[in-house]
Amino acid sequence: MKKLIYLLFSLMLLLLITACGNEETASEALSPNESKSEDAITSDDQTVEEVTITAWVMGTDDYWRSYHDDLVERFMAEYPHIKVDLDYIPWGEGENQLITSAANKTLPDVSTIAGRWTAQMVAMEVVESLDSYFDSNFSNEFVDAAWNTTQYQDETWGLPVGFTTTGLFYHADWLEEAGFSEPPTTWDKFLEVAKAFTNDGKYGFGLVGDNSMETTMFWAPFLWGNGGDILTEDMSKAIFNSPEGIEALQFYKELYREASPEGSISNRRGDSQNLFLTGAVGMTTVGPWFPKFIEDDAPEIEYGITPYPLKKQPANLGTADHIVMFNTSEKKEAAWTFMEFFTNQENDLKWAKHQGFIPYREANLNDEEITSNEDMAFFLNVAEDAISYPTLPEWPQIDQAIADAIQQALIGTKTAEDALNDAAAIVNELLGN
Amino acid sequence: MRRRESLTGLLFILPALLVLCVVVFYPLTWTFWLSLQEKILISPVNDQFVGLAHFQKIFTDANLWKYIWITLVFTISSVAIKVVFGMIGALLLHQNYPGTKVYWSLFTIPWLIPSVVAALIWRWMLHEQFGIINQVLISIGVIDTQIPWLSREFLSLVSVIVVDAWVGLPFMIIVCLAGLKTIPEQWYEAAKVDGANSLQQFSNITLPSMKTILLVMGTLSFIGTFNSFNIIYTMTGGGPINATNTLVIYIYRTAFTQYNFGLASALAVITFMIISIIVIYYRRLLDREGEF
Repeated sequence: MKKLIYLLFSLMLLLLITACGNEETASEALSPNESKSEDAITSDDQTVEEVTITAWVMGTDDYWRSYHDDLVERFMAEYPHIKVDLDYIPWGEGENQLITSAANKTLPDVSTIAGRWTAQMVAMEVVESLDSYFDSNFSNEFVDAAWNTTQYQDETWGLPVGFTTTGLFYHADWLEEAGFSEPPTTWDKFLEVAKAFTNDGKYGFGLVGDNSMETTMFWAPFLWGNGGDILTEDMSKAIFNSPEGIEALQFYKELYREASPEGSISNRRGDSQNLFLTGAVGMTTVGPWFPKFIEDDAPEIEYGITPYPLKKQPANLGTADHIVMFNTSEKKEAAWTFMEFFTNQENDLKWAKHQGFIPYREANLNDEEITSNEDMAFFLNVAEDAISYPTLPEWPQIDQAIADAIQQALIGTKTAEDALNDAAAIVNELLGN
Repeated sequence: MRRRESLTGLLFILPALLVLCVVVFYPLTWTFWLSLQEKILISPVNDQFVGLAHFQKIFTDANLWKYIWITLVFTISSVAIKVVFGMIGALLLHQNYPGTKVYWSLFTIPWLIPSVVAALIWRWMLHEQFGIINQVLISIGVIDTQIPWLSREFLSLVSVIVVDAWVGLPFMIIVCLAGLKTIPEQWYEAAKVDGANSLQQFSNITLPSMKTILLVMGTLSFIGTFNSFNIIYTMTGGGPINATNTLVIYIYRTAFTQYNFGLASALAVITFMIISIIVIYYRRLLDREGEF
């Protein structure tokens, strides 16, 4: 009898452990492309040779996959002679994967890529310059702010595939309860509201302060909003340690000390969003995908979106993802066909509606369904104040140096001024001066 | 005849030798070779031979000594916890109290969970707002405000030490328990007849008999913990401001956030040297105390 109990107990444990494991492997094993068009290929057109291209897509969540699976299926139905082998890479590993693959010469034909990585890959001399693939009118079909992120040293290295801006999300009912009639528009007001929210185990702002690039993302709009910038116009020198930068970091530190959880030092962007969703913080800054999260996870939240509170000028972070072709590809024509399809007007609109990203094609900016959606309209409107990171190969290291400086200032091991000056010295050395 | 025999012998170990060459000797030599090169993946144009320049840079860098210090604090504390509590756990399980086997199954759980999963779970449990640890401590009145376990420099180091020890403890208990079972029961009976109390029995019989096992396990655990990566990287990523940046994390970040493979290889060579010294000590230990 006793033995039976132990046996049952061990069995239960085993079940528990394998059950936990299964979910992951199941979603991992999801085959991305079930090609239906295979038999249609050989039949009528003898001259068209069948080709298979490999493509990577950054991002692995199910919702994200379902769009791209469908896209590839539609592509292969339209171009039966091209087969696409699709692989999903987690965002967190994307940069490593691309750079090590470039060093090992095992890159795919095309890949989506965060815009801030593109210049780095160009410097490794593995990206195909695209200017010869399209005529001069092509670029006019794209939104300027998105298109400009693909330019580096006067050449085009990718096509925009995702464009986002950011804004300040707040709990509308908290605001009302605290006795404010409107969301904060200036730094002083912002701090005042954030402080008013901070009591009873709740906090005003879900600040991000861990040692990663997400910290730089959170802070940069404050730097820009104060009239500062990260690098000089010609990208030869760091200027984030200007008086404007120091003031912006001091403000960020005040937000941390007065109105954010102490644990923000180890919070990433996802943590901040969760804090907002669970009602632990009253405000956070996020992009256009967030309303979908709220709708799914916490539909009871009454939220509002407002532009970043400003000091001197309106500013927010605009980021663009690109799709690029690698020059190691032996099927460049097919790869270009795929890229063109991926970014055509129809798919841009589909993507915007699916994921809540704002359109990167001019023609879709006036789409009825998009302009009538309040949230989407907001993110479209702030696009004119969106600032993107500078495009240069050293960006990821610059990003890290700034994140480290912010962390040091927040914890207090260095003053904001010293931390930024030290980071600027590192960056200037990287830039070769 | 002898020659033939040794040839046959060589033939038998050849597959294993080949595998070893591919997975051990080749990467090792390649790392040594890389440590003498300037090799930054993202700027391939600067690749060149630089001799010992990386080592010169490393040894004049004050940060290195800080990271070595963090590594030692982390390793020694974690191993000490594992050895002491491993021994205590084994002694308790050796007593045959009712329900010992249930405890035994419970004790092995941390060992069965993949370390990345364990670290992720702990990261959540230690979270300032969502974490169950803060909630429990507050509800029983130990603390009155939430503690950000992974956000203060010293506290985050303590946290990763405890979690690393938690993951490594079960194996230590199992090995110590096996050691305890080899001590003949009669020795204790004889001691009782001579009037020794349980403390005297422990210090004169148990501890001397367990000495070899504890030394060997301590050394092996030291090597494993020194190279521990998963737990720290998942929980803190080496932060806040490098407070948990052990050598291994430092190497990873040099290689995969700066893509500086030359410098990272040089650091790996230094780590390899440190570990080698401990391995030599371990070999001596085995020679002296007999195979374990």
